[in-house]
Amino acid sequence: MTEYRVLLFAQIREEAGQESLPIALPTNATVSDLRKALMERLPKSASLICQSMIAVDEAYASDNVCLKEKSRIACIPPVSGG
Amino acid sequence: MKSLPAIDRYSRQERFALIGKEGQEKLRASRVAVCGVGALGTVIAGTLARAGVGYLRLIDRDIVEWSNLQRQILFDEEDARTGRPKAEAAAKHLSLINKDVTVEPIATELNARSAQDLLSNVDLIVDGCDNFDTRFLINDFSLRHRVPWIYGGAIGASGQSMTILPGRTPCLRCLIETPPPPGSLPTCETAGIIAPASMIIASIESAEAIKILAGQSIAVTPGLFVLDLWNGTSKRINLDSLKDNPHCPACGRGEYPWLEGTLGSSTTSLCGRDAVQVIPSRAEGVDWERLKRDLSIKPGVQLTPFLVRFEAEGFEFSVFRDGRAIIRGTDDVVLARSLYARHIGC
Repeated sequence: MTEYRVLLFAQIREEAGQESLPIALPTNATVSDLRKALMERLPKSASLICQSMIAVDEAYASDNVCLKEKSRIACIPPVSGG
Repeated sequence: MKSLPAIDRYSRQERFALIGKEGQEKLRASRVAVCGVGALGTVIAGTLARAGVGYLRLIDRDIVEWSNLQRQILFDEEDARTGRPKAEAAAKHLSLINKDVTVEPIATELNARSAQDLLSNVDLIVDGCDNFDTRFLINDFSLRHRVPWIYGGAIGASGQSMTILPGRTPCLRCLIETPPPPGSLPTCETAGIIAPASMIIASIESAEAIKILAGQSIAVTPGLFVLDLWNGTSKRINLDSLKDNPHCPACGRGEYPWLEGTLGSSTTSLCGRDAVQVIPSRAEGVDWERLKRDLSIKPGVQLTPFLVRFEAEGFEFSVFRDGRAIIRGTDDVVLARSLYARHIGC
């Protein structure tokens, strides 16, 4: 297992009440696995997490991208207001 | 006393070497559509008018309300008291800021039917709107007609922005393939917003706009800018892996369903606002003079140059020149349609 620290943004951060969450995943887990784990940890934000972009090392990462041990991960929901 | 000439009005901007007199002249000759004149749009329009952009088209379907004054910087109490359309109110204030700028206020909804008219003949489209359906429509228009646009959104203490240069950068659909369903995302009404969040995002959009209009597209900042003001972080997410994506329905495959009107909604519950907007289904619009005459007999009616407002059955109706109405007191779209049919009738 590898533990990742996931930075949270906007409403997801507010609903979680913290800036980041530790998420443990098996080695070679993908962005898609991470998204599922986040949704389980923050069920109230599940639909927002589902629509969110996952950035790995400050770059957009599609669902099939494999996470690496020291990957810096951010979960960024779309922002609609204006 | 004779007033001093305004010859050095743009001197500080011209002194900035990357703009100079040449860039300033390009700004003067530029035409911009600002879509949505709320928290983002008022800051963008104010900044671009002060910067000397020659022509601004302000598009907004809504009216000024008291809850707007906390962050929508071109409006005042008089605008909220009279329920002035935002586009008109913003234009009035901009005319006091810079009379050399031509401002065209358009108090109507941007949708598939109106997009061709409202977005044509500009060099740039800047997003100040509050929903993804309209942004996907702008994205479609931008790609089809090769007009750059700048996305911005803000909520709570957060926000994001991205500049789309057709053919050179990823587009909004590269990032978000389908828009989140209506009601699935928090809105400023449901989740709140602090003014600095929208002001920073609008300022970033304005800076990107000035670069593009001054002929410095090369300096456009790539990627998605993400801001969280409460914990003081900002990031720029690299989107290079989305470039030249043949699978993007819009920029890869050339499908524009929002522009063609096959996707997107026309009658909408104004989320979290306890109000519904109803648009008449007749494409040719309505006879405003007749509508005004018919509605003027309603008890307690208010007539302004822009709208007729009255109350009936405990609901408040604001009816605009294009026949569009905002019905306050319900978020039930079906009820709103039937109230519209009963009291406005077209």
